[in-house]
Amino acid sequence: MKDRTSLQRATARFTNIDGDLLQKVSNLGPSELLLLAGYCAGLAETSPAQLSTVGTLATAHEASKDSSLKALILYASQTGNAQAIAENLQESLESSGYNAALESTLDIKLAKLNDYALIVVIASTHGEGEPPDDAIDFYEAVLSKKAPGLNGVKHAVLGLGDSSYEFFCQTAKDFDSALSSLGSVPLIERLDCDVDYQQEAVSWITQLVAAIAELQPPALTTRALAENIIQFPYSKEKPFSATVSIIQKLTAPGSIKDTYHLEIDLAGSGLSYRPGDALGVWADNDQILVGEILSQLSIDPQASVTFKEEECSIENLLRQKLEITLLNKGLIRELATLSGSQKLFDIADTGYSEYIQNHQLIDVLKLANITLEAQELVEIVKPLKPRLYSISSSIDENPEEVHITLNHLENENQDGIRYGQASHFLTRQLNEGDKVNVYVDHNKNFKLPPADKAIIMIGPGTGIAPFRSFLQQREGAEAKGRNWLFFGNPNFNTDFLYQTELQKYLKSGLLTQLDVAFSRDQQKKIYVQDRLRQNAEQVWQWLEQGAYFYVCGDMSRMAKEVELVLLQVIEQQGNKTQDQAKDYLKQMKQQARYQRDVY
Amino acid sequence: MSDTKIVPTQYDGFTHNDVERIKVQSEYLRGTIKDGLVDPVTGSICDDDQVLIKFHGIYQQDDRDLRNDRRKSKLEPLYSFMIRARVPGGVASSAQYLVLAELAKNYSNGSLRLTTRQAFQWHGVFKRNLKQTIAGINSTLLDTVAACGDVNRNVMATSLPETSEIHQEIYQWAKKLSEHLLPKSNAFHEIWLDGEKIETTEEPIYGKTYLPRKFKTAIAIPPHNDVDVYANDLGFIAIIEQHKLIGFNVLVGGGMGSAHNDSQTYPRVADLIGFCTPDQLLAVAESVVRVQRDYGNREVRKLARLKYTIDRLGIDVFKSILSEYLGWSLDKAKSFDFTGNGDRYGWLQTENGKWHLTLYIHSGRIIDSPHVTLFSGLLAIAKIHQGEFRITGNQNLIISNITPNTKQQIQDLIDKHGISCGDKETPTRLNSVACVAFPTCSLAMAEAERYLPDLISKIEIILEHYDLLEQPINIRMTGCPNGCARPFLGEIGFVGKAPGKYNLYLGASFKGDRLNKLYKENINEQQILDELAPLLKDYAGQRNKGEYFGDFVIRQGYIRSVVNGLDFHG
Repeated sequence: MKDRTSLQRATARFTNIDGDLLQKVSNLGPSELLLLAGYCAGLAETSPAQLSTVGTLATAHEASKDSSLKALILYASQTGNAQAIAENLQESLESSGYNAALESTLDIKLAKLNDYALIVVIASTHGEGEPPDDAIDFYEAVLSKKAPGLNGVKHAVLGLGDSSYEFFCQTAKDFDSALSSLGSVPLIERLDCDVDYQQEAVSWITQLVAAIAELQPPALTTRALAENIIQFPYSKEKPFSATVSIIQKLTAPGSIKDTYHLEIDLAGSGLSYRPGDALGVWADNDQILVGEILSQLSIDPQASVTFKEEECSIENLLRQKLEITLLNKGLIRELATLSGSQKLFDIADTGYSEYIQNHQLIDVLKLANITLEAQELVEIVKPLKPRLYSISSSIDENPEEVHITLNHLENENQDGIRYGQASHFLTRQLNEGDKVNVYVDHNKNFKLPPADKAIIMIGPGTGIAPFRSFLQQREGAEAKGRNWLFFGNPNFNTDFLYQTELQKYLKSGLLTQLDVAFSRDQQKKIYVQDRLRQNAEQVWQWLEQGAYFYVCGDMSRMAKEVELVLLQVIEQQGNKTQDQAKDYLKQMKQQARYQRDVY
Repeated sequence: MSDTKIVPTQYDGFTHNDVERIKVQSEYLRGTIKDGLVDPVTGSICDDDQVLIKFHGIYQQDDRDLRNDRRKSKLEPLYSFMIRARVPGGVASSAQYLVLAELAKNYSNGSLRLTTRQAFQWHGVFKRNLKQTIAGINSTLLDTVAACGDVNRNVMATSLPETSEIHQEIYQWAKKLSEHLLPKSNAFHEIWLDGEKIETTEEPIYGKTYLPRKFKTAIAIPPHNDVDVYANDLGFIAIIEQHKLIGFNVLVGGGMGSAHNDSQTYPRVADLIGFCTPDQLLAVAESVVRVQRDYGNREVRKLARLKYTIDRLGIDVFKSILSEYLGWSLDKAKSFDFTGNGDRYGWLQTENGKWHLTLYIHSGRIIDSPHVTLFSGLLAIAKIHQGEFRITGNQNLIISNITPNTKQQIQDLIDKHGISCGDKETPTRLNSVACVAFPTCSLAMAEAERYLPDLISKIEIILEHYDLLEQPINIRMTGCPNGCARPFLGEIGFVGKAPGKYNLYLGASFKGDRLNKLYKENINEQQILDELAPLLKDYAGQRNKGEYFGDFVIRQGYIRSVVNGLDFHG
């Protein structure tokens, strides 16, 4: 049997999988195979160290694919998670005997949608309900009049988001309704995944594959899905307990910023990362804040509660497992209903986005002014999420080490100061030598180009983090490409992050150019986007010579303004119309020459 | 004079020190200052330009208190610039003072510093504000040209002689001297005032390499030696007969700077070499400068001051070379008498009916503190005062030429702001001088301005114990041996060796014409007090009537008298 041969070939490097085993497996029926796949995945989960070497077996069925079902898997990814799920789905479908095209929303042509009988969209939502960078054009197109009719087409949508944001999974919701309004019918119900998405996503994929099977049975099924294509021994669910070796303040006394450089020891973890990746940090909640919440609700700290089928004291749970700093609308509504507080209803209805800037759970509880049973609290509060920080080091230059650059966040309201969950923990409660739970969060969409390519980096404030990593990497690799950095912060004297390192890079020639904008050193505020505009001619030259353009940092203002200026530069320097400039930028995106890591 | 003719020095790139190279290559003090000012990545300017901006009246410094923390924070040192204005005779009009104080408020650390050479200083001006500050100073018709660097610096003059007429006459000579000896390069206008570039400027007096080292000039009007005329490279003592200026005694080769543990270097009081008439003054000054230009040591910078040139040539050879340059010889010096080098505090009226109020400014620092709002007080006074401000050589300030009808208003402001007219301090505190030292001075080895007040408080306890509180004792402290506060002319001199450690010098004269000598080396505060206590006890019991402490320690044999600079280490 042809499949057998190719499967044997694919598994040749695994000496324990012999012909006998394969023979037995190939005799099994579809439901037996699925059961076995689940069993194998469970086994693999318990011995993670070996899993990283598990490759895909998808090639086993190249020859036997049923091409009668035309499926398209479309992903709109910001950090690569949606892409990973989409690839996972494609693999699952292929191993179930279906042929599915995999496309980024960046590359898909609108008219092509009609070619498919099934469209699966995996879309993440960014910030305040916005689509990821790669999906903006497609998003606008699919909602526009130009979109084709999709009668007879079926679709399925999976959203990735963060329920603490007001417009949770908004992009997925919009795609879902847009496809429906074009005439397509949902094959299975849309799933809106929260930050803790992996298990839910896997079961949705299983459900989808089953639904497809009902629609059109596959020619042959031999293999179900694996959870991830590449797995690391330590992950978000299973973080590494790392030692923090250095906690160094970067801003000088008198600064309005409170920025830190942390060096974390990864020795023994097997963790690795590439420039552009992020470090996930699981931080404990502040003991004082936990105490305040418990006393506000008159809950005994030692009260026993059940969370995810485990029992523990409410105090410990609040410290380590529950989200008590980021608010979400559902929680405010729930407490409004429980307390009957009109103020809370008003906040949920109108003043929400402003309110959450400097308020946390404790403030809402004070307004609700009610008592709760410990278990009731557990039911209404969300599970704690890890915080992600752009990595600011290169592992090649700092073996078994990772550096991050972060602001200590504090916002004042009438009742006190509210701290950032992880930044407060990392910079105020940890000491050098203490442990912190971390993992690496890979970001496929923020990566260095080939070594000979020029790069322009826009990284004001802590947005400089990945570019420090880029520069270290390029210095170590003796990369030939030119490097141009734009940095900004409020004051030159106190806030020039990594100043002495950058001066060294400028002197050595690694940095071809360094432009700085210190907004508060003169009457008129100057930002990185202003420096970009001042250098329009040269920026255009670099772009025309194939430079890659990177932006990291604040999304709501900086990144937007930078994009506007970039479009102006393209338009004016390139003698283009607005639309042509947009197309130029779109092409840059498609060539991965415009990459953003904004938050 | 020896048989072998001593010849002037030509620039020699192989043997001359690096500062000489920088001057030669600078295209008359331009260097790359203009580019350095607009480099946004650093708050500093490059090494060569740091030498050159001194000629423009500017020093690059950094806050040494912060260096280590900033290094750990991956920040460069907190660079800033000290700006010194050239104020001949220390005289600034009330209107000028207002502008200078506003500049301090807007661009420096909020204080003005009066220097021991009658200049204004601004500390902590960041590079991005440098140009505006210099332009602001220039708008008052004062400038910073040659306030530092290897040229003739600010020309000092006694600030409060007996008559206003004499003051005016001498002040005008100080101004003319200063202007006559200014560098003529257009670099200053090009860099700071956006002046048009004029190629290849000639330097008629200095030439391409300027002087081998700094050059200081002062005019004293006896009996006041508040300018410490003996500490200057070139000194003039005004000779007044029947209220008329008839000319000047000429002194050469004074200077304070020396290095620890280097007996090649030493402080030196100037030699009296003759007399000239007022109309000969500029020619004498220019010729002394030219001799130093041609015969000064350009190989070893620390031996380049005029005092070493003179000791190397011998005073007679020097005098004959000077006569050669002049084309004539100086007359014999006239007799004169100094009584002291301190200031007379409080109110004083001159023959023109105008009043003068001498204020005690601790270490010359004009700043607001919780109890004394000196900075604000002087601003308020400047707004109503029609006359002028005069900086003294002891870093004090005189509100000069006050009209009788504003006298009371000014006194009220003085009281309101808690400003001292020298009536609240002991004579010893009033006679004390300290340099800036930490945190901004890059040369400082120990504290001075920030520490001397505390040390004096402790010395005052001893003085009180021996009933010496009314006796003025001249105390000088510097953070290093370069001598900004003229420590080697203090009856008690402290020169920093390391944080908290000082060399103790004794035996200078009260009127500033004899150096002190090292008494104890490298001692801390307790040791200082332990050393001084028995001396002061002895002084209280054994002194002659009117005998100063500096004279007493020599008579009693505690220390040997220093007759000339070469005795300093002997």
